[in-house]
Amino acid sequence: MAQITLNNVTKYYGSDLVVKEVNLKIEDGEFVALLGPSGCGKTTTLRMIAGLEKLSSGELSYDGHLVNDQPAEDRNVGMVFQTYALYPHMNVYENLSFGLRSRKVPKSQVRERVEKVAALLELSQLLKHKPKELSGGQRQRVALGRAIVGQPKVFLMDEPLSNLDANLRDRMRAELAKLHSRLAITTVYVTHDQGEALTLADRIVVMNKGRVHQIGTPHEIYSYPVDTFVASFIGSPGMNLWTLPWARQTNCITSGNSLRLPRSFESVLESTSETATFGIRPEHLSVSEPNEEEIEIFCKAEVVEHFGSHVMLHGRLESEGEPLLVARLDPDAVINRGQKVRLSAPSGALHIFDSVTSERLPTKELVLI
Amino acid sequence: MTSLDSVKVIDSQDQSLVFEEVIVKKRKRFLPASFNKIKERLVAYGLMLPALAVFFAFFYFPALFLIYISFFHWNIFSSQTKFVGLANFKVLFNQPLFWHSIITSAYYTLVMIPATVFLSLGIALLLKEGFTSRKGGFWRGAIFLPHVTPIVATSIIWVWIFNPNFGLANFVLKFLHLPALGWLQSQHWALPAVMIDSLWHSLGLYVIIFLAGLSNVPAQLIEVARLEGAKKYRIFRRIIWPLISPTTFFVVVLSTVSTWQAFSQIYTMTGGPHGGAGGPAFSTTTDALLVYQTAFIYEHFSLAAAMSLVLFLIILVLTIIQKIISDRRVFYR
Repeated sequence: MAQITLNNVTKYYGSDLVVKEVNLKIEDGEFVALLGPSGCGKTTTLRMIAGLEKLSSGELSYDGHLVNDQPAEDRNVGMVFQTYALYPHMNVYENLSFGLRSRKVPKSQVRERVEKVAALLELSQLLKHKPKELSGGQRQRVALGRAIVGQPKVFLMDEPLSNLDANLRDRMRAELAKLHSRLAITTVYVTHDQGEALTLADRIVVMNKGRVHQIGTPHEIYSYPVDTFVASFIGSPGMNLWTLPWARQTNCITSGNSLRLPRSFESVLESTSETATFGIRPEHLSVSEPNEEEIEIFCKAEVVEHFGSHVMLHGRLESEGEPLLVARLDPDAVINRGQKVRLSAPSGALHIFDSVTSERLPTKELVLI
Repeated sequence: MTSLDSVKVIDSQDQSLVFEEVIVKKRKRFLPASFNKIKERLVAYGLMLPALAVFFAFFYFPALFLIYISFFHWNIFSSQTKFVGLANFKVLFNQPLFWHSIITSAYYTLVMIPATVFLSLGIALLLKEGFTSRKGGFWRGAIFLPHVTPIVATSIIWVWIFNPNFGLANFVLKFLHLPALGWLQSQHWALPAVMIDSLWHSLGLYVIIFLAGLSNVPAQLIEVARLEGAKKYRIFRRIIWPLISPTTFFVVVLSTVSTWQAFSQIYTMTGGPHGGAGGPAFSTTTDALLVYQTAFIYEHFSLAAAMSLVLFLIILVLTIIQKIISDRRVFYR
């Protein structure tokens, strides 16, 4: 196992900047997910950690030792690719043992270790099968087994579940979590699926356009997004974000006829200009009478979807530009299309972002949920 | 009549009606459909006919006629044709020069095939690893260029290169402090000199074929192997080589056929001054060259046809052997 440190790691392809000054310290045995949309630089960062890409600048260390110039074959990392990258001409046993034989591990140990990993991943009956004879889930397990059989210091995974169907993906996700808790190998996991990142990782690194936006635990990322990108990217559906003008009233703060906040937010809003970006997650909205300490929102219902377990309301605020609103409401909420709806949310559920810089304003101490 | 019987009657009536309808429909469909099909086929064959006629006239007919005349005494300048059975083959097998030509052809092929595979794969690996984008395009073009030049013309240049007195080859040897060679005038070096010309001429094609094969090896497999601690040679031996085996097999078959049939470069470089027979002391007399000499110098067309048939059978047997080996060794994804 190893501690990985990235210090101002930057990568250019020609003149294109793909990863910009990434600073990250991954602790021994930690499970870190690199999360972001396609092209955000997460796979390139992973490949730099693996040694498959050279750093344009910055420093990369394993256990405090600089590995910038260390070739991939000497880093002792195990990697699982999206396509599994199994050797198609070798059977499962040969696929699992290739790395050990490359490192000249004695034959008896090779067999012992392969059999142990095969038993762990329920592959013992498939050792003589070629990859084309295996199902997607079995191939996935062989790829995992191949990565762990060499007892790597670091375990790297590049969207390992994205080729599986939804059911199998859920099952494999649970298996991955179990495997990590059993082996406790430092793991870096690249995904664009926030569900995978939130459920598997100890910490999540949210990236966009080559830049790290936020590093934090799943709870921190979800509850205290540092900017509007993280706020909108995390959560399904993403956070409602409305950039609106605000005004002081006697007992409250309002934004036109559609938003009313408790007066306690004044101190936060004072640091902004006349407008601010207000954010509330769909699941924090409800159809109920708000009290004075709660947030009140008025909207016009456009689409109402009944999911059984909940109702999804798609509407628009009655403010300038009629910004969209999505609310995940109780299943017994009765709302008709075109109806004007009054919604409420606890004041702790409100996120305020600077409308110019998109950065979060310090409302953390106000968050009660 | 019970209610059940009436139902049955109605059913059978319905069925017969349906049956008749089906027959009528089928009949209607059958005639135009088959007519259309025949028409379609006639048009298709009609369109193919000119190409087939050319193909038959210049490929199948000579090949079949060659088999025919190998069992006859036949001469292009005479109308007398006499069936001689296996007599041509008997003469052939009793001729030491024929066996010599088979051995020379085998020697030529046995050296050329490994050299072709080794060099073209080596160059393809270098081109793939070392050169990318624009530079890669330049080198690929440069390597392929000799293949598109006429071999007779380039062979004349190689005759000059291998001139023992003022040729470039001996100049290079002298520069390296090595003894000068007689090249095309030497019994031992004439065939290797021809091999160098043949390799230079044909490598470009095989390099391009290998490059195509190499580009089909997924980069991630090589990356995984690297991460698993495999060094370059092991990655090549255990990953790349098995995965490009269909390409290698294709190159081996293609080069076997072309080397057994090699004629132009051998004739241009060593045939002319030796009565078309090849080399000093028949050292470059391959099977193909002997066929030419027998047919067009000595005008023994039937004997040359028998030789060609033997050459064809040798290539066929070699290809079958290669196919058997390939079924065991070649990995198709």
